[in-house]
Amino acid sequence: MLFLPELTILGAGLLFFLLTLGQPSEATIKNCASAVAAVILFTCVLCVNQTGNLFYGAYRVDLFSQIFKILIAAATLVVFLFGNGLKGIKQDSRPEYYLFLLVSNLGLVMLVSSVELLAIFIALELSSFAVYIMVPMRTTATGIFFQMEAGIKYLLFGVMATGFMLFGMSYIFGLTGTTSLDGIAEQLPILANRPAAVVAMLMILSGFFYKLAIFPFHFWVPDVYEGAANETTAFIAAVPKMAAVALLIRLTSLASHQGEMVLNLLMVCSILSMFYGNLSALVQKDLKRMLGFSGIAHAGFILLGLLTFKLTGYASAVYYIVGYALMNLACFLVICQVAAKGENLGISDLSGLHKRAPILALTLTVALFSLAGIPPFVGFTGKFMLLLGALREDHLLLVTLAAINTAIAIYYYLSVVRMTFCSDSNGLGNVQTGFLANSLSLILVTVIIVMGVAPSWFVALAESAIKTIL
Amino acid sequence: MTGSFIHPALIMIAGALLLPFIRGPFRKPYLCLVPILAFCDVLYLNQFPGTYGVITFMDRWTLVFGRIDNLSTIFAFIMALMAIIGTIYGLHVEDEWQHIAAWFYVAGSLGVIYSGDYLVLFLFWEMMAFASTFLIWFNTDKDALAAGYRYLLVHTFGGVMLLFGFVLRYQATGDLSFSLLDEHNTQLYTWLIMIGLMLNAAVPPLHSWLPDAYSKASITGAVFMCAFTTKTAIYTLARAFAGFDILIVLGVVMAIYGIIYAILENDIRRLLGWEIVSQVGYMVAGVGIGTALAINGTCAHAFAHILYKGLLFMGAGAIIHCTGQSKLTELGGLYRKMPLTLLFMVVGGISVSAFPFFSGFVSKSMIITASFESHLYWAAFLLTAVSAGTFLVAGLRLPYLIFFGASRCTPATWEKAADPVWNMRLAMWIAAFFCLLIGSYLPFLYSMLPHADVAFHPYTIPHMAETLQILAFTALAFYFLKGRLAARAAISLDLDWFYRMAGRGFLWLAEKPLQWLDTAWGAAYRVVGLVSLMTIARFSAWFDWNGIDGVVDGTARFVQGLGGRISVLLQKGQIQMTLYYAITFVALFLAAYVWL
Amino acid sequence: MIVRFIDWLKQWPRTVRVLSLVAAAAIVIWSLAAVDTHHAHTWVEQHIPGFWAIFGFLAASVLIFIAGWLGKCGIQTREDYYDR
Repeated sequence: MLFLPELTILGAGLLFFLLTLGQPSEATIKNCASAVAAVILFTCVLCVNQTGNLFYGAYRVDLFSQIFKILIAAATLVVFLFGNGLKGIKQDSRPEYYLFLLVSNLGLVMLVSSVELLAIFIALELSSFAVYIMVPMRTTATGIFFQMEAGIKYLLFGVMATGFMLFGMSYIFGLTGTTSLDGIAEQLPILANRPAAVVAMLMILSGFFYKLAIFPFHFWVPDVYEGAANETTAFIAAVPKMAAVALLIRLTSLASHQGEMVLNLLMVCSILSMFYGNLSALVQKDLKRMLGFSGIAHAGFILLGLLTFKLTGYASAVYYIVGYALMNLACFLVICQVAAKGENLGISDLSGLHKRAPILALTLTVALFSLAGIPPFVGFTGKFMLLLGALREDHLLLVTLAAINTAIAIYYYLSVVRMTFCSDSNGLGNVQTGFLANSLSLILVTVIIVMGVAPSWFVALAESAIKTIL
Repeated sequence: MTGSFIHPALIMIAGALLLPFIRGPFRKPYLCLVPILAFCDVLYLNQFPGTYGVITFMDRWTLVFGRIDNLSTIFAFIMALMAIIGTIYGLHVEDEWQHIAAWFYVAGSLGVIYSGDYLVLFLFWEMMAFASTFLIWFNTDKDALAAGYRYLLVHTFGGVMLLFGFVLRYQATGDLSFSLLDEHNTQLYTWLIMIGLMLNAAVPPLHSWLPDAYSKASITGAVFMCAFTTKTAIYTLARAFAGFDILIVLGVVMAIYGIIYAILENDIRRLLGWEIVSQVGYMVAGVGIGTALAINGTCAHAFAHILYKGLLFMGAGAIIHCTGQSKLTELGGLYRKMPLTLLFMVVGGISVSAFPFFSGFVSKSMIITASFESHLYWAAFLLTAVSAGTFLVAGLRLPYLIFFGASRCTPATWEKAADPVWNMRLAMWIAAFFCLLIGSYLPFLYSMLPHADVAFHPYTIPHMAETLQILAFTALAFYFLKGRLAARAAISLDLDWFYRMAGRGFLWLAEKPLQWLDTAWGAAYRVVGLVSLMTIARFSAWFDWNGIDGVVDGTARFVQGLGGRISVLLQKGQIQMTLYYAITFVALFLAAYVWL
Repeated sequence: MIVRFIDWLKQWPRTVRVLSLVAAAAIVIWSLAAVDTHHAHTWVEQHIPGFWAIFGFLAASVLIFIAGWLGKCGIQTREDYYDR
């Protein structure tokens, strides 16, 4: 029962492995995928109140991990649903694509439960390698050929980050003689002033900085976002980031004893991420690339919550990343629907969208307003809580710079909204949207608004979950 | 009444969201119905002062959506009224998104007016800023896009200042309620909040967005914008900063600054925009004086100003709509073609110039009298001088250059010119009626003022004599100097020069070095990463082909040979020799371990 | 109706001008003769006859000249200034 969600995902993976052997029809694959994702979400919800240890204490099931599992499963379900046709993926490798997606999902789900360095490492690699393979599976029919390059870049950066992380882990092991996070947590306060311990912690963090795309581990983002298929990008943009935040919370709560040095470094990373992301996003013409750069900036914002080393800060970070995932899913839903053949979308391709697909235009508007941090959407509430939390810790300069960044970000988001509402369609045809995509987008919009207006329920849940690991 | 508090902003928002579903013959009645409903709601709410819509947010903050007191009622009343007039004026617009943006804008304004704490204020404040940005972008002119971005830039800056201010205040005092700030104990946050609010009131040096944006907005958009942003900001200033002396200075500077630029201006909506700056200067000064009479005057002037400025903007919009021209150098002599528009422009012009029996007369004089009574003679005289300038610009120069004098129209413009469609005329009739009503029937406006105990009588003989003298001799000065007031095809540089240029520099910064860094990184990546990878790959292929294979083959041969020789040498099958070798190896290992 | 009225006025430009001047003069004479200025706020209003007439004329002229002077100082510039 403790391991039920993981087993379900594994079983689902096996199912798709069997499908890859045969010649299943399009509809079979689609329906299987949606059904499987729904079942996974169901089992995750079913196991929400489970607690216990597995594999000699390397794997812990608690409220924290279970909530993240639900979030990951839900986000995956959404990706499965709107990326229904997998238009951007080579036709003959669609079952394999789902297989790898599920494997990656398995890795992420295991990641949030791992409380031992080696387990963390294995889970992270499991989730990463599957995604490395998914990137070049994009179809070449739309005339895009740099998915291979993107995949290689993603891989090489991943290898570098992993290398750092492993190095750090070995240091920690050398210093503390244990690989379990609990043991490390006991030992670290004693080692607090050793530079080696600080360096080691930072190196471990770098592995997750890479997943979350924080400066200076962000260089893969724009190319991979642009090179990967729209569905893949949607997955990369939303799902692994949630797991990365979960692990960053686990790890920064360990690093909190190490004081000024770590704090300053996190601050610098946060500020640089925000500025780099926002300034670069200003000049982008490609929508996915722009969202990629904006993702870097948002990752910097999340650090703002982590570097308070406080319960409320962590809870705000969780709230923010969930909000971010929702907004991004909404954006990518629109992208996937508008890009009829799975091509990349320029911002100008959205012109006159309010006439071509009103519901999609509304969804995009809400999502982008929310990303820009405009009330009453979830993005505003999240930013407000993060800023207030950081201000309470007297990081005034940081908050100032973050607020300036919010202001910069409003530009490129609103310029997209302007394109959808204030320009003619320039002869671009109507966008065909199914009932599923429409209802899904309305659900996302509703959740974005409801979470923004009534955040207390979710924040309380996040706080109670984080309490279990502190 | 607690149970039945329906926020008028909610009516506007719900109405806006439903609008796309109402089509065909129902569209126009529906467009009229929603603002009228909101207006009725405001009328109803205004009868029950109190605090409503209190919601606890995240168990920490108390949000107040409905603070209905003597200050908010008058502002809500006029905003809701203007929403009706503006919507009627834009009734012919087919594009429903323009109406939606306008209604969201109105909702933001009403929300700000009824808000009781900074969080709700900020929520609606931003709603106003973004909705109005779209009102600019709906204009299809090529300049509108850039103007919208500039507008957005400035208002985002103001929003950030406001956010900072109230967050710092919350940090310091733990209080989020939106109330009067202490003038004698000013902190950084006091000034930040003030900057945030003053920016929306277009107080110099934060004013340049106003003429810039209002001249580029869509025609109906400008009618809405001229009413809501600045006057909502005046309301917030009156709420939080009444009696701050610095506002008197800023207000007077603003009034003079605006009127001087208006004298120079060539674009009619820019000219009116500059005049808004000037008129809002009176209100800012009134807030700064802060006595009961001054606050009454500020509210009355804001009320009157919304109507006559709305009327002037509607007239200007009608001219642009019907001729396609917005510059004085391209207009002139139009009274034959657009007599009704002339009438409305003149009514608006003499209202703003404070002619007796028109609205400006009963409101503007209140602020000037308040500054006399507070012994601020310099302010009173300068404001009176500006009112002479106002008459010069809006009452004389504008109608003269548009409707009289030599026609500078092209034949095509002349051919097109005509009075506008019925709904525009109707809206102008309504606004003109209210201008006259306010000026002629005092209780209508005066009964709504916040300080009911302060009496003011505008129709006294000295006051009439004073006004008539000023007006008559301003007209005389105009007659003598009208050559100097002729339209010139030129623009006036203002402080927006700085951010226009800074914006360029900033974009350059964002584009060039950062893009360069990114490209360079990509290139370096390609060169160092991919190229080296490919080189290594190529080398290894070559090496594999020529080297490894050779080596492997050679090694294989060598190992084979070695193995043969070892086996020949070591494995002779003689047990004593094998034992000897084994023990020697172990001894060597042991020695090595001990040594090392 | 409005058009006809204006056209009719335009037939008598001289008369209109004279009538306007007479009206302005009448206002001043009326305020000199009949208006009690003893309760006015400032000394100047009480003691200078026709103060507001002078003030209005001067204020308007000064504003016009300041604006013209500022415009010549370089505030006014060609219309395509920002487009280059």
